[in-house]
Amino acid sequence: MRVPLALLVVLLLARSVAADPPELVVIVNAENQVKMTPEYLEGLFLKKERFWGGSAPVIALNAPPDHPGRREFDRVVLGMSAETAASYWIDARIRSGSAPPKEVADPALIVRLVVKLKGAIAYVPATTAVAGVRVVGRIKRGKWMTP
Amino acid sequence: MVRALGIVVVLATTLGTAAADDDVGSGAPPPAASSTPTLEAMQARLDALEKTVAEQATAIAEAQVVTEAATATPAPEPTFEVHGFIDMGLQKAFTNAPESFPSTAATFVLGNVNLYFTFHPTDHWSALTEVRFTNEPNGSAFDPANGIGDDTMRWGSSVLERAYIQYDHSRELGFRVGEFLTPFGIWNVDHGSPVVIAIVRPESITQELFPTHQLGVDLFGERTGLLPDRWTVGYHAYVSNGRTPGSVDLSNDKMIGGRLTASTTRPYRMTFGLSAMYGTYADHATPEVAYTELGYAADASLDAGAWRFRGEITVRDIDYEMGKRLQLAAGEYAPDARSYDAYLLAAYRIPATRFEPFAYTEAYRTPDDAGDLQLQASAGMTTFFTPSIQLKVQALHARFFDSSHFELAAHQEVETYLGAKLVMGL
Repeated sequence: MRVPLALLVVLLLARSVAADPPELVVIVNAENQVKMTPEYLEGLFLKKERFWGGSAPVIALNAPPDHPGRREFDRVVLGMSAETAASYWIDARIRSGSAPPKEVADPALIVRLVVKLKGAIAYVPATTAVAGVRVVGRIKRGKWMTP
Repeated sequence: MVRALGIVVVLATTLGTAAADDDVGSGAPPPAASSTPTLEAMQARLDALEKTVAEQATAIAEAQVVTEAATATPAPEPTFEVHGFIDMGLQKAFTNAPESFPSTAATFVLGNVNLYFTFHPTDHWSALTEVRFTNEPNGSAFDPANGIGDDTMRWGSSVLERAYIQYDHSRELGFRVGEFLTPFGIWNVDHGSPVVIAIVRPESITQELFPTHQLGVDLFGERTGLLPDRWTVGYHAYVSNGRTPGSVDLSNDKMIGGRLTASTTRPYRMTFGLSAMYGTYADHATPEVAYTELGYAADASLDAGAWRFRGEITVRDIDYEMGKRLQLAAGEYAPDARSYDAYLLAAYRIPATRFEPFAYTEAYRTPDDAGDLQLQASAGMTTFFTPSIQLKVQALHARFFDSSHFELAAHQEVETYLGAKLVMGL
């Protein structure tokens, strides 16, 4: 009796863990004083906004397509599924030659890059140490919120 | 290396300590009182070594991240990139007017082999060249470069689809100079086989109600905040040679045109557009042909869940100068006319499958011996192996109405097309 009960508890826990979308923080370089909105963030990651305030180039860093954080970011910020996002960039390439944002898998490396690159913007799991960068927003339980 | 050495030292020390502990636990005589300080010293030394190894491991990891950051630092755009799309397939046509077709037999076809070369030397400047390679006109020649020079060689050609230099000042303003796709409607700029839904193109494109390409200058941009919520207003405004008999314009009159769009991503991705163009045509042929043309178009696209809808209406008015009409046959001249084309397309991605069936209908009216009005009905399906690798199949039936030609009017022209294309984005 104990074994099935334990199994049930494990399964329920696993289900609750799987159902919870990862919490993300959106980060920019510490010198970047941008006030972020979800609309602006969408424009940055769709490469419609290509310059910060009309000057410094935007360097958006994406997680790889199979990363849970990427799927959550695409869903909440871009309103796209993984497949829709893939199709979007195929279409954008053919229409205008526009390439998708760079993909970097390691959250620690992403933070280091954002520290180093003034024009960088990225998102990392909320559990990542984000010293040296500026947090401009959070994605928590499928919703955008300011920090 | 240092880390490995540290680990070896720690292991050796640990093993040594463990061995000593084993000795203690294996019934050996109790250690003398003087051995306690030795153990404490060893423990202290072990702690120090572990601390050193941990510090070194941290330093190595830090160095790795810094090195990776230095080497992986992405530029805003790659300086040079090659990509494109390719498609090829099988098709067959059935018609009572086979002279209108290159072939009505079942034939494999090389569709589009388009390569894009994008250059991004600085943040604001870029260049794009799109070249289509085709086996047309399928010329024949002797190859002088292999053997004694009597090898038969089939030669094709390349089509410059686009070639321009672009400056992006901001989201609101950019411009491109060179040859670009005319910004009108949906299909003309989508144009690539992985992007467009059906195989067969609308008559507005194939009959060029708007010129499909322009050689000139195009200003473009988009702005948020002019409309509520997430709606964005976009624009194009261009000056170009317009239609020309050759690669240069023979008159000082330029074509002017533009496009205005309103688009949003919420609650669904959709765009509504209006386009217009005005231009003149003049050649120096005998007899000379000259006319003015005015085109206008409206389009709508909507992606709602598994559904995709596309629709365009395109109109073109052509007005010939006195005595400079296009001669179609002896004593037969093209009239001033209004041509229009309208199509609707609906596609539905069956959930949790690779399949997207679609339905398409089109009406095209223009002065034509075969019939001024052409109606089309079509159905097909796209199978997505991946988002960029697709198999498209389509069946299309077209009928011509309102023929002014008394012989052609007696037997209405009908056309049926069956086609399949394997498509890949590169």
